[in-house]
Amino acid sequence: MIEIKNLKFHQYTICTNILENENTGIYCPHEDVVKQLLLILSGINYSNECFYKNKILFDDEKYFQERIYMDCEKKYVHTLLDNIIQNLIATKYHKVFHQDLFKKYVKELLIRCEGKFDIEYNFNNNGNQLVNLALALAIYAFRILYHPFSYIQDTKKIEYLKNEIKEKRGNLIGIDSLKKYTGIFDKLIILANNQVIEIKEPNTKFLVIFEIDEETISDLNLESILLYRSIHNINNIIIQDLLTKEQKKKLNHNKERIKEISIYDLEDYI
Amino acid sequence: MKRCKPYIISFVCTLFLLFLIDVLLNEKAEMSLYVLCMTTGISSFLIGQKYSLNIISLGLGLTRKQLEKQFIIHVSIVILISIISIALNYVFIFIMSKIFAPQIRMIIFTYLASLFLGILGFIIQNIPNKWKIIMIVLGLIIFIGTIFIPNQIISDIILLIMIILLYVCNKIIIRKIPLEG
Repeated sequence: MIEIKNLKFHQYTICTNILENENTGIYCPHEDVVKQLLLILSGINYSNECFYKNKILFDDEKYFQERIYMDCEKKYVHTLLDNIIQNLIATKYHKVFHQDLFKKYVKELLIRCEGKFDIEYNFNNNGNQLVNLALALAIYAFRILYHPFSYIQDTKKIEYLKNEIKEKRGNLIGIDSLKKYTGIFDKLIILANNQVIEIKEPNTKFLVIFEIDEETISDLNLESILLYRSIHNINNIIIQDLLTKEQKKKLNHNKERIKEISIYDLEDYI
Repeated sequence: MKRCKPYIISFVCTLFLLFLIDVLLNEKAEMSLYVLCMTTGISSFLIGQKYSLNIISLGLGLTRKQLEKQFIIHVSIVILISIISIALNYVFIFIMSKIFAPQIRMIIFTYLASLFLGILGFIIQNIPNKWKIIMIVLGLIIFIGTIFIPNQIISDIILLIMIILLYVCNKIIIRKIPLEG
């Protein structure tokens, strides 16, 4: 389990736990924030507020053995020969690599068709991401992935990969869009406008309430379920759909505009 | 063995380079040291680049401490190779200074010349008649020419090169000549 104890990061203060057998997503409208946070959580950049098995995880050998960090937009793989990859992963990085699984992904995702016609053997952006994901899913470790689907266009391949990620639990994924990653996560951490939203039940419904004043918020006792307050208009709020009958009655009476949304529509309102 | 290959190649090349500098340019200690410092410096720089911090290595499981350790080990090996090269170079100079004594020089020259003439004779026996005279004449010119070269080391080297060439030609001839039974 990764413990984050009062990590002060940009304008956010993060305090949470990330379980190794869960799929956790991190989203922020600013991509750089997600990338830097993942580099801290993978132990590559320094922080003394992140722990793994009660030890600071920065440059910790044991933690590095049990996790991989992959920026899915970078080039990692220049060959599909699984023997060569297996040899390298085993000797240089001392990790377990499932050759058969990798071969299966190469076949299912048609990665061989994604090569660029050039003097060197290279993949295009789409192919590069597919091969990176195939590699990551074939390595037996806790996976920290940055932007796994940013270049992949084919919805069938995305759905296939989503199913594989869901099956192989133990992934921490930094995402660029909530809508592309529906149904994968057991937990979502959203960083937006100085606020950290932690959602443990991704199937929960949310309500966007437009033009609500402070008096109504305190009258209806909405502070406990208030999730987010928009900076564009501080009178727009997002709450979890845990309203009682009375609260709903009062809201309807005050003619507040209310809209029901899913967690994956949140990015339109933050 | 595969892992040692780059180091063996580096070692042999450095030694050969030093030999050339010593023998051909007649420069000894100072030049050798400059060459070694340069090659050690460039090698260390390239090794440092290879083990520099990069997110791919760190992401897949190597820690910063491990990268640093590997860098130090590889630079140490390069420096060790340089030190051994210097030591062997001085041993070589010492041996060569003994070999440079006139009597031993004559023995070496005689041996090389005999080898040269022997292989030449063997080839001449096996080549067609029209080439025999050409080969005899050429061989004699080279042989007499090497006797009269003032620098004896250069004449030894030329003989050695000619022997190697003749040996290679001989191999080709032996393979191609049709025998009549």
